[in-house]
Amino acid sequence: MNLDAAGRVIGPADWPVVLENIKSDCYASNERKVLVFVPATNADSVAAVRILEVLLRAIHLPYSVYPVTRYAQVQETCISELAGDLENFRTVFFINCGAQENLLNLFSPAQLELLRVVIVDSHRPIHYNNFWHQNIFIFHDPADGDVTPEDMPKPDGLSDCEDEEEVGRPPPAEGEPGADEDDDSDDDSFKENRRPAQRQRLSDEAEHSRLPERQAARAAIRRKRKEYLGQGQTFSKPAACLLYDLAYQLKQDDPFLLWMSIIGLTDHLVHQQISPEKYAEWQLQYEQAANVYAPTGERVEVTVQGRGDAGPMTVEIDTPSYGAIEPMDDYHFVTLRHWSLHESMLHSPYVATRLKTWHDRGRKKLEELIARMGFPLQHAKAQFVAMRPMLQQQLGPKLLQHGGDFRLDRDVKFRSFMMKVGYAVKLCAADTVHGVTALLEVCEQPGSEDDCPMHRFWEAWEALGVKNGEGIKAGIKRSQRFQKALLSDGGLLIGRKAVREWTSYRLFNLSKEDIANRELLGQPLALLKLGMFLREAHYQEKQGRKNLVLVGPMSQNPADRGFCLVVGICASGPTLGSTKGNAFGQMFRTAARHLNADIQQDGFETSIIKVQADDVLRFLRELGKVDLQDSL
Amino acid sequence: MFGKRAVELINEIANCTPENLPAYNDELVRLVIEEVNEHYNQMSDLVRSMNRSGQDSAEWGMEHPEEASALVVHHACILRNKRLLMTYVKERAERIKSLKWSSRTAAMSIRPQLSATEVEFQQAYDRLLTKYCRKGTGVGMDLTLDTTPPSDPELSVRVRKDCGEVVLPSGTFFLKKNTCHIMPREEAEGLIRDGYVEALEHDNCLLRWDT
Repeated sequence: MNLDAAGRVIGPADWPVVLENIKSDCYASNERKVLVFVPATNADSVAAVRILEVLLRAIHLPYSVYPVTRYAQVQETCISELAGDLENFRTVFFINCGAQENLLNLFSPAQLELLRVVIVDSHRPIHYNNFWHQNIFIFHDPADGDVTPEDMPKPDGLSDCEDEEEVGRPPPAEGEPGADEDDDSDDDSFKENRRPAQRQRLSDEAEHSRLPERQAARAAIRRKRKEYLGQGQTFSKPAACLLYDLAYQLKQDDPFLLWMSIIGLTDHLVHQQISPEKYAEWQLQYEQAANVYAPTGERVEVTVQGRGDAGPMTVEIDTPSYGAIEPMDDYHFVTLRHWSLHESMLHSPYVATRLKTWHDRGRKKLEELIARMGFPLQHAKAQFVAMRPMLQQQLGPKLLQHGGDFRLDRDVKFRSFMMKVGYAVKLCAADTVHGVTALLEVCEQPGSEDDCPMHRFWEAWEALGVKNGEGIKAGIKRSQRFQKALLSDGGLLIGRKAVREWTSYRLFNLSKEDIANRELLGQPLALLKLGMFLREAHYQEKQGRKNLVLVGPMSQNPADRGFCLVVGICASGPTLGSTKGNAFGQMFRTAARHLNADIQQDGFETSIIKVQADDVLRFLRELGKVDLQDSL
Repeated sequence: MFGKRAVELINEIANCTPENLPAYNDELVRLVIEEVNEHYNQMSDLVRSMNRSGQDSAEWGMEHPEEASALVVHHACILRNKRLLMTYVKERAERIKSLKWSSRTAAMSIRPQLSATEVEFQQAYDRLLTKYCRKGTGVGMDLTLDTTPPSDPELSVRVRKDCGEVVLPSGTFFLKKNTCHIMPREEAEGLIRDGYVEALEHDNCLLRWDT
């Protein structure tokens, strides 16, 4: 491995080359299959897989897709799929996972030698071991900021400063990044190879004299790593968008792939993983791309049978188009086109936190706003799409005019897209994202055989097909159930004053709370949305911005019964120019290490972990200590 | 009536369903050929009488209109019978070919219905097709399995029931529940029938109206 090489973070220009290499390798070897790992947890991943599948099918590469929820599942699959195969060079894709995880923990060095790992992931920062490894390729768009070798700490097992002394060293005492504990186990083979050579070069005495020097260097590296990982988790370009760029370069782009990348982008907006400014920038790019596919506006003549004896006659009509993607204005009202205006506003976190619609007072206020905007309440309570078109069109201007009095700012509106298929399906990007997310998280029959995230992944996958309007509608219905649960239980938590204030964060502990909708709120993204709802509600009550830790209700699912999810949420959503990410991942790791408890940290979001319900209080106490130390 | 037998021959095959073939009607074919020969003899007689008269054909025709029209009718009948016989043979050959494509067992079961030359034809056609389907000399897949060309020879399937490691001609698959794999259509079909996997429909086209 050449340390001078600038890692394997590759820009758009090199992506087709990687694909070309995979293709030629696979055609040359007996084992042609490519493995794809994808988290069964978010809409962006589902959309990204659909794009990747199109690209792989176009070059006739067989593949297997494995939806997963934890790294343990990845490992398990790799053992069965790759273990016996020590001759062929294989390729593994990681969609929306892998960048942050130390892959040297997942694969043995011998395995990695025979593996090409391609990571299409929006999670940042990239783990330094992945960055430096020659067989790991990480897609990165330089528009997201540079990832340079200078910023990157040295990988394990290769720097001069790490030697045998680290083995058997007591675990680091305080606040050290969890990644450090990996140091010892990772690349022993490398060390073994290097040590004799070193010994021959240096006499014992010389080595002895260099010891403090090396200790200092080691400390420097550790500091750098801590600093690097301490910046916290952020998100770069969504995976679906990265893959769409690749498709564009391969001249494989078409409206469907564009729609998928819009879903990925909107997913990041809805879950606040991208700043509104960045969203607007990319949205504009996609708007231009959508115009390329838009109907040309030309008119064609068709011959039709005239009425009665009139005989055939020609009529001029617009060129018929099967599917189209049209830019449009959307509002932060959930699933507006599948609900009434009143209910959509009532249940959307944006309006709910500002008007406190969980109170009667808030509802009155909402009705007042609707009245001021000139919408008869009767109409506002009917299906939005059934409302008079003139009223529908007035929504934007009226909101702008009267929203300000009700703390609805201009940012309630955002540019988005609508997809039309024939005359049957008409879907907005945000509604689709809500629907797909609900399909991934909300189970219709809890406890049944199909109650597993991997099963729901394929439901969501199918719902993204262009003709599957029914699938996505079912998802949207589920998401409305979730939104109702969010409002009632979120409002309840605020009403009960369930919040606990800690040094740098607010804490909500739902593991002991009486919650009506445990199933609906126990899922990662649902919990994240509840957290964001509570955070906003507190901010709107003029209590200032603060990080938030939310302990979810105890899971009833047989697979992980007795576990609670713990979610850490930043004080505010991402903003332009802020590099500070979600640092809860590191805090959770440290707290978990100090605690001898059953804690699962191998999910794909570092800021979400699973803790045994009995250990929650101990864990929170430990987290409080870590927080205190950090703030000192 | 002239040509009636040949029409009978055609009717025999026309009244038969496309996946069946009536026995080769040796007797009727012979009778039709005899009829043609009879027409020929009649024509020859007339031509001979014309030659004997020593006139050129136009003059002879003017003087003997009955004989002249008889000559034309006999000739037309010969052509018609030939056409019908050809149609009979051609239609049978086409059916022998199409049965080979639609059903292997049917192709064997009609063997007794065929004439000696038709059997020869069938065997030659079989040889040709097998050669074309064979790897090395031809395309390397059995084209008669599916007469409509599949949209894609490979199918992506999603596993519905755990069935562990499965070794198929195209490779080894670890069929774990809720994973997706690409496999050749013909290998997938058995697994789909047994309910282990289901085909995933890639409906990802926004560009055309589906017919």
